[in-house]
This record gives sequence, C-alpha cells and structure tokens, in this order.
Amino acid sequence: MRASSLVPALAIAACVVPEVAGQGLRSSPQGAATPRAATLAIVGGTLIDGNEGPPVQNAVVLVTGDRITHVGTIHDTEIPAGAEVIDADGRTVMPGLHDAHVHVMLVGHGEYDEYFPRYGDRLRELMPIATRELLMAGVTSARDLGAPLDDILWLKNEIEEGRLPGPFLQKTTGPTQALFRWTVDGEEDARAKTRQLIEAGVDLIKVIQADRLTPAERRAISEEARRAGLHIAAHGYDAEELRAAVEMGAATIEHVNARPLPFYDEESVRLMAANGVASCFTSVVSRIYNITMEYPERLDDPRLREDLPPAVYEDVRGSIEHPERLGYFDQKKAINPWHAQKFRQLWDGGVTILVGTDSGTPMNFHYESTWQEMDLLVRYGMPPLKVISAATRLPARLYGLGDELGTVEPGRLADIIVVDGNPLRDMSALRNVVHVIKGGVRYK
Amino acid sequence: MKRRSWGPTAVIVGGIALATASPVPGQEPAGGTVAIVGGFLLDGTDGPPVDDAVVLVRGERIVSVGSLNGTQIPADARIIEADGYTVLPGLGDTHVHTMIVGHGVYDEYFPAYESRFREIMPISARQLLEAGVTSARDLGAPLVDALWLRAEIEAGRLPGPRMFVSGPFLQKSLPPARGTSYDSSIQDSFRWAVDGPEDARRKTRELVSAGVDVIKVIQLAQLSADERQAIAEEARRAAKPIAVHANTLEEVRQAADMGAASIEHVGARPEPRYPDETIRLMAEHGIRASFTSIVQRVYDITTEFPERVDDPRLRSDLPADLYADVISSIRRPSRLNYFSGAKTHNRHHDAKIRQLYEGGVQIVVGTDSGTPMNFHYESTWQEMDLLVRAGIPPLEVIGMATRHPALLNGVGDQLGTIEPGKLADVIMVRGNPLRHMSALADVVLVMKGGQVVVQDGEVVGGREAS
Repeated sequence: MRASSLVPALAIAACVVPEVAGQGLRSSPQGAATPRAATLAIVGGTLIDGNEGPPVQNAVVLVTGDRITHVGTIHDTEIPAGAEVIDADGRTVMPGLHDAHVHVMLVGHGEYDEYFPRYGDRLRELMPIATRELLMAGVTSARDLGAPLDDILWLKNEIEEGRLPGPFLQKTTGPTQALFRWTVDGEEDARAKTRQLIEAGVDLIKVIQADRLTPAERRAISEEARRAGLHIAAHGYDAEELRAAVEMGAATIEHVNARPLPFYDEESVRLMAANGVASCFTSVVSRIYNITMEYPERLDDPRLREDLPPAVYEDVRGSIEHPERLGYFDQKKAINPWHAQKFRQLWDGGVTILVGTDSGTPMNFHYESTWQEMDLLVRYGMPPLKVISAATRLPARLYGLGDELGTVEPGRLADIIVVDGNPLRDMSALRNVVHVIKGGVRYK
Repeated sequence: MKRRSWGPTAVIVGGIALATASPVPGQEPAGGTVAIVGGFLLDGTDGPPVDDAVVLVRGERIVSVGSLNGTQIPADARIIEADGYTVLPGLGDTHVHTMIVGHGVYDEYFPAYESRFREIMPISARQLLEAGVTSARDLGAPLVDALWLRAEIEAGRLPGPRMFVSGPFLQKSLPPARGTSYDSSIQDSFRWAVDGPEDARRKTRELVSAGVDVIKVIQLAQLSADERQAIAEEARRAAKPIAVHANTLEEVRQAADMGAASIEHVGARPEPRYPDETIRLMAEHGIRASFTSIVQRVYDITTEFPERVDDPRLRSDLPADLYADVISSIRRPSRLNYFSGAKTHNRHHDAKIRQLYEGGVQIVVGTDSGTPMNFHYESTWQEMDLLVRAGIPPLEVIGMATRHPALLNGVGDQLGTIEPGKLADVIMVRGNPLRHMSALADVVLVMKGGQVVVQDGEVVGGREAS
C-alpha cells in the first residue's frame, strides 16, 4: 500500500502468516481442522517440487499428520492401505504458494480515506474473507505487511498454524490509519515499540520511510529485530530510502522502485545484490490498473460479489467504478511502462526476486493477485521455474522456514496445491487451483 | 456489472433467478427472448470490446446487441447473467477429424475402430462443443458417417458443432500401408483415389450430390492437370469450396489454378520460410491459410508436460477399451512416427505464421484435431494461443476463429459474429482471452442457435443424455 504522503513516517510492522480460513467461514476444511492421522496420498500428477529440478511425472506424495512423509513415483511407491487418495492425474502438483506481501485488512476498495473510517471496526469480519480468498487461490503462506496489531493477533488465533502479522509504525500518523502505522519518536520510543511488536508475537518488522528516521532510531529497531531473530521488510521508494533500509539490515525491499524514472539508479541495484536484500517487486499493485482498463469485466467477477457482505460489495464496487479517477493510480500509471525494464535491471543485477502482491489494495483482489504477479514476472522475462521458486522456496527461506516450508520434500509441512494445466507453459494455469492442502489438512 | 439502474429487481420481474444462469433444456420458449447481460463482448468483428454488453436473442437469432445503458431488456426476457465473463461468438474450427480421437498410430487405429466411427464421432463432436466450438469443418471421414453425424446434430439428436463436412478426400493414390500395390478400385472409406479426369469428375459429383459442404483434395502434384481441372469444375459448379494440401510452391500454384479456398497445414514443410511466391499467390488469390500449427506443436507441448495425456477428460469421454488403447499408443511420444518430421521444424512455425500474416494471407484457425495427442477438447484454443505467441494480435486471432471460418464456410451472413440477424452461436468464458488465450479453456456456457447447449463445461442434460 501507499506510504502516507502526509507524514514523515517510519515504520514497522510485521507478520508472516500462513493463510487459513478461520472458524465460521463458509469454506471450512474438509474434515477436522486438526491434521490427519490417516495418510493422504496425492497420486499421479506432475510434481514441480520447488527446487527447480525437472518436473517429476507420475509423482506420489504421501502426507501423514501435518508432514510430507514420502515423495516418489507410482512406480516405486506403495500407497498405504486406507490412505485417502487425491487423484492428481493430468495435473500439476506444487508447493503451496507464498505471497510475500499482502494486506488482509483490505479487499480492493478504491479509496482508503473512505474505507478505513467505514470498516476500521469491521476488520475481524473482513480479514477472514481475505485469508479465505488467498487460501482458495493456493496461497498457503502470506506475509501480511500492515494491519492493526490486535486484529491481526486475533486473526492468528483464528488461523491454525498461524504466524503473526502486525501493524506498522510511523513517526506521526493520520487520524484514520493510526492502528496499523505506529510512529516512532526517538531512539527509546523506536526500541520500545519494536519490542512491543516482538512481544506481541509478530514475525517481522516493517519499516517505511527509513531515511527519515534518525540513525539511532534505525539502529534501535534493527537491534531489537535482530535480537528476536526477526527480519525487516522496508520500503525503498528512492535511492535514499533504499540505502537507509539496506543499512539497517532490511531483508526485503517492498515494491518496484516508484520514482518516476525509467531505471533504478545503479547504486540501489548494487546495494541490494551485494547485501542479499530481496526485492518483493509487487508489480501487480500498479499494473492492475492496465489489466483492469483492458478488461473492466474483471471488476464484475462473481467471486467479489459472493465473498463480500452485500453492503461492503456495493461500496467496494462503487469505489472502483471509474478506475481512471482513482488517485491511487495517478503516479503508478506513469511508471507502469517501465516495470519490465526495472525488473530486468534487478534480475540481471543478481537481486533475488520474491513474489508479493500488496493484495487488497485498490482492484487488487486476493483471489487472483498472486498468479497475476507471477504471470507478470514471466512476461518480464523471468524463467517460469524461477518464478515458482520465488513464490515457494525462496520466501520460506527468507522467513527462516526453509526447512519447514516451500518445497515438496519429505519432512516438510504438507502445504501442497494441485492445479489444472502446466504453469511452466502458461502461468495462468494457476488460476485453476483444484486442491489446496495446508499442514496436511485439505481445504479445497 | 456496474451499477445497473435496473438492478436486481428487474431481474426478479423477469422471473428468472440470476446469480447462476441455469437454463433448463426445453424450457426456452421458441421465439421468447433471452438476454445475455453484463458481459465483456468480443463480437468477432475485430472491433473494440464492449463492456457491460447486452445481447438479445429471439428464437435462434440475435436480435439486438448493445450495452446496458442503451438497451431495453424485455420484461419477460429470460436472463443469462454474463457479469464477470467474456462473451464471444462460438468458435469455428476449420479443420477437425471427428473420426479420430488422438490415437498415436493410424495403422493400428483404423483397422480396429473403423467399424465404430458412429460410436466415436459423437464423442468428438461433444468434446468440440464443450470446448466452445459451435462450427467445425470435418475434412476427412467416411462419407456416410460424416453425413450421418451432421444430420444427427442438425436434428438435435446429438450434441455437437454445426458440421461442415468433406467426407472422404480425393487423392491420386492410396498409401502403401492400405494396399500392397496401387489399385484404384481399392477405396478407403475416408480417402478416395481418383484415376483419370472422368473418374475425378464422377467422384467429385458423387460427393456433391451426397451433400458434402466442401471438397478436399490432397497430393495435388500427383494428380494430372486434367484431373485437377475436373475436380475444380465440378466443385465450382456446385459452389463448394475446395480445401487442399499444398506443400510446395508448385502445389500452391496448382491450388490457385483450381480456385482453392483454403490450404491446410501450410506449416507442414520443413523449410524455414516460404518462397515469397507462395505468399504472393495465396494473398492475391484470397486463399486462406489453415496453418494447423498445433497438429505438430502438440509434440513439444506434450514432451514439456507429458501429464496432459492423463487429462481426466480423455478417460471420462472415451469407452474404456479405446481409452486404454489410445493411452498406450501415445505413452512414449518420441517413438511416434507421426511426429518424425514435424518435431524438427516446429521451430520455424512462428516465423512462417508471421510471414503469412505480414504478407496479407488470411489465416483461419484450424487444428486437425483428433490427430495423435491432439485432443478435440483443447486443440482449438491451443492453436489460437500459438498464433498469439507467434505475434498476431489476440483480437485478430479471435476473428480468425469466428468470423473468418464462417466466411470460408460461405455462411458469413449467418454465423461468425455477434450481430443482429446472425444465428445465436455465443459462448461465455471466464477471464480475458485478449490477455490470456487460455481463458478459452474455461468455457462457462455455450449457446447454439439460441439454445443453451453447454453449461459449466458440460453438455446440458449430462453425458447420459448425449
């Protein structure tokens, strides 16, 4: 989402979150929300395991409890008697997707100044809708980079196996957005608020406008995060902010560089590559404008109407009736033509790319944002197999969960999706998620 | 759909539940109005898309096309909610073979299944229809079977596209595999050998009087000039378009002399580009190119993703014994002789497609579906996707699969676009085919002649009904 233009802000916030529908949602898991005791066998599909090796045909993946216990083929694997079998014949089996930048408090409304006053007290109704949409789209892990702390903590309790999201801090705040932007004032305040987030259980700290923080404030945040073993996600809208973010040890820079210039300055690319800072490019957050102008019908997707409460739907739909009038895209539109070459700059410069979408922002719906971002990256020239890694193995590693998530291998948590078609040929195959398994529980 | 002023209440007035269009077969009042409301319309004319379109259908015809703002929807209209979907003309595939279903080895397939074509052809027809193909040109099948299939579909006894059929194709000699030595008295059921101009004339007349829609001729260079001329004269007299194979410049010249309407498989030759003369001749004579890239590219697509042959549709659509046979025949694509030449020159396809396109040759979408691993249920959109990947603008590719096949079939005034007066062959898909042609894999609804015949990807009434 857009940084506040009002305020010199800084930032914070946090969260990683495996998505799962909470209780009371329409789509409850098939079977109990507890991991299975019996074995689940996913049989016969082509496996893209997330390790960038050649796809494996006629794969068999066995799941017991919440873990993958065996990965083989139909020729070398005996399927245990009594196993629940998912027939994946003719389909692709993959790790569940990670979206490294979402906002579950948002659902695509076009005007934040209207949205937050109206729905600030209904986030516990809306956030589960967003997480369900993500999960049904095959997103089994997501980093939520901005939501009120207590709400996102509540959401964690509602989401089994959840890791936590939280608010972000900023130096001063507008009246409507205080809950998810915390401002910091001085080194001690920065330290105290970072600790508060850590104690509450967030998974990472998000910082925006790092260049407007004092060096002491940056250091305080950075020290606290490091001590707690959390990574920092930061915005890097221009070279100054990016440098400050890298210096404070940010692990990811969110969003394509938003300066209205056709290229990154070389120093920014070099800094990211040299320090192993990943780019969560989030191209779709602004390219969604072009995608919508080409195909306005997408705003009438039946899912939007079905998923949202009727009054909220009417409001959201009304707010985006005229995309060309949305102030949100004013600057973004101008930069969109340069996304491809800016991406190439990062890619050729050796910067790690992560799939993140900022989903929830105007017209950027959770139910189709992640695959659209992946499709854009392919169009920019990233090899499809690498794009899949950027949405599976690499984000898991970033979170320090590389041994738990991100690939389909024995011992990993069983976050697995089955899709119709070959995403290596056409990333839009990920539109058709047939099955979603998270932590051994089958949700779709 | 956007803030429509008539709102949901108008729909209730219409008396039809909206949220899911749920037409029931047989309930469509003949002459009653059906309104397809709110979709993103690509009308097949290559014109700009219309957002929030309204298509009114009465009986079997389209009576009005407009947008929500400017269209009066009759109060008693039955509403098909197209909101969030793309609406486009039913697809036309200019080259299919309903007698085959993807088996890898013809020498095994034909002896084993020739007697079962009336079981198999309806399966192909249904697969095509479910894929949104409402018009298909079948360029090679036994005469009586092709005519039978067309009649059964026309009579509404079988679900399928409107069929434009050639019956058997004419050629000089039968392949050795089908007869140890050439003998013009041996007639294959779906290929007729001709011997001399009189024989050519007689056989063409026989096809014409039986009622075929198109005359297909292959091996042009092996036929004598007199034989070609005899065929051409009879076809012209009966106003039947001629479809030919023409692999060399010499054959392209002969095709032009015959007045051929289309050349099939223009991509089949191994040369990296066409002689300029080929392009010039085709453009000047208005000979359409049915490139059928997919028939060979399906080899690449399958070796990249062998899983596609395990598509559940194949298994559920075919009788068990045929399914087992088809699957075993294509289990190792690299061993199939069918692709021995193709796979080496697939890499030239894109350049040749661009050569045709830039040279002003009208391309029409044709697939040869039914050939090895080239399944009817996904061949047409895959060909369209290949044309886009070769660099043709998606909107024009839609025209190549809608308007232009209708023109080729001589029914451009009846089919191929969504315009008032046309027969109501309309499909609804999920997503934007202009951005992802694969959206056409997601057919939500198919209307043919004003009747909803496919819903949620399956023939209305279920498999059993068909």
